[in-house]
Amino acid sequence: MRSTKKLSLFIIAGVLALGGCKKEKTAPEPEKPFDIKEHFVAFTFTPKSGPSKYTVVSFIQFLENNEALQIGSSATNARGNYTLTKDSLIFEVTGGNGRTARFSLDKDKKITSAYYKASGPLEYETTGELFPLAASNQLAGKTFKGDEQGMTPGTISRAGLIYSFNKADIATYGSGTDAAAIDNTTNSYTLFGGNGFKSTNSDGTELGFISNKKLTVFRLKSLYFSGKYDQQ
Amino acid sequence: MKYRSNLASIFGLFIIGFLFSCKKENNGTLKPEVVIKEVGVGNSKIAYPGNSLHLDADITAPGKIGSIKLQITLASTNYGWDFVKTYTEGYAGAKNTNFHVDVEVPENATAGQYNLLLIVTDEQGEKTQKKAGFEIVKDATLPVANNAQAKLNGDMLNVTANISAPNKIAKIAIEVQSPAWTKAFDYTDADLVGQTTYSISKNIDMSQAPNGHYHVNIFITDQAGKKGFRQLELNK
Repeated sequence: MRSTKKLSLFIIAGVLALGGCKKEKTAPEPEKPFDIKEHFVAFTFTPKSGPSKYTVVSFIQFLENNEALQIGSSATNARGNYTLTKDSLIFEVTGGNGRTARFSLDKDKKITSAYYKASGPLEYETTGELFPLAASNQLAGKTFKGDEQGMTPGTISRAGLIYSFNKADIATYGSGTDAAAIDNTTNSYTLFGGNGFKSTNSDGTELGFISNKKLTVFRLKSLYFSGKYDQQ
Repeated sequence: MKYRSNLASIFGLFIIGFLFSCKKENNGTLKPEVVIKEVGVGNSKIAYPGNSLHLDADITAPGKIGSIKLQITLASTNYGWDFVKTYTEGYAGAKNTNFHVDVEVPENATAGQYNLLLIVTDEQGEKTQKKAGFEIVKDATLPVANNAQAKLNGDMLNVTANISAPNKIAKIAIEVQSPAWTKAFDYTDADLVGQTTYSISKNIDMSQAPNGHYHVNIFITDQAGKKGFRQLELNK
């Protein structure tokens, strides 16, 4: 009788003890706080006025200590600082090469409007997208086709231009208008955030990114070329 | 009385059971500690384009190292060289380590003041960061090893480089180094001493070297006493 009571006490104590930790085990995992450093921005800017029409592609990579890099067609990146609030993201470079990129964010951290101003007089139409850093190469194995625009408004420099990216783990691609002649091992590229690329090759310097099955590319080879290409 | 005794027993057992069952979740750890010992050879805090930037730090992480992030950026906001890399292989899971890397400074790196940030995150997500400054200095007279390569053919390591030394070569040293096996070789061959350019190709027997990751350090000393340094890596 006495041992039955003791056993009951042990069982009760055990149940209570386990119950004490139960809440922590069954409580939903706290949502991981948004970390801008696990994202990157791909943005485009097009002059609002002037005799030339082109769309430049640029990336922003977020670093520690509120530092960020603007990756463009230059050989080196522009180091700036960023400020993130609940509804805006501002990237700024001060000094002689000063520029500001400003993005409005909705509650889901989606860019709803974009603004870009460099040190020159030009005003730009600006678009931007905030992407999570993808673990895999989203370009790998994909082919895109469209028309490449020249700098003079309305001119097409290469109609039916094809970009063909090599399979995963091989960061190379080829481009051209003759599908049969494209060698997708020709140009090596640096991957940004999983879906952006930069390459300096015989066709100049190219930057691009994919979004909604479209590849947006800017190419610099003395002149500016740009285009949007549909995934095939 | 008996009722009180039973109640006390239940309460006592509850406390003991609770403490034991929750012990793991209450097990806090200390944040990682980072001591940057050297930035640049001999902690000179100077780096040269076309040469390697030497970095040496001691890391202690009671909560075990999750990752080590190295961030190098221009101190001011402008166009400049940058380097960002997260290291896990060889470090993750360790409580203590010596973080020793040599970062290649590209030949087109902009001269100026740079910030170096070392961020250690442990397995619990605790972070510690340490900052150090250094300067990239352009010195056109510094000896440089261009197109340097280290290739292993069986047990024979072949090191090649095109040496440029406006102040004339005094000595070239090659060090093959890993925690388990290190050998250093000095070359003062008659055909290289006094030259301003020289294509070096040296074979080094690594038959006694155990398998592992090796650094191949090329040190060039010119006749003005200036030193150039280039590091290559290979796996045996």
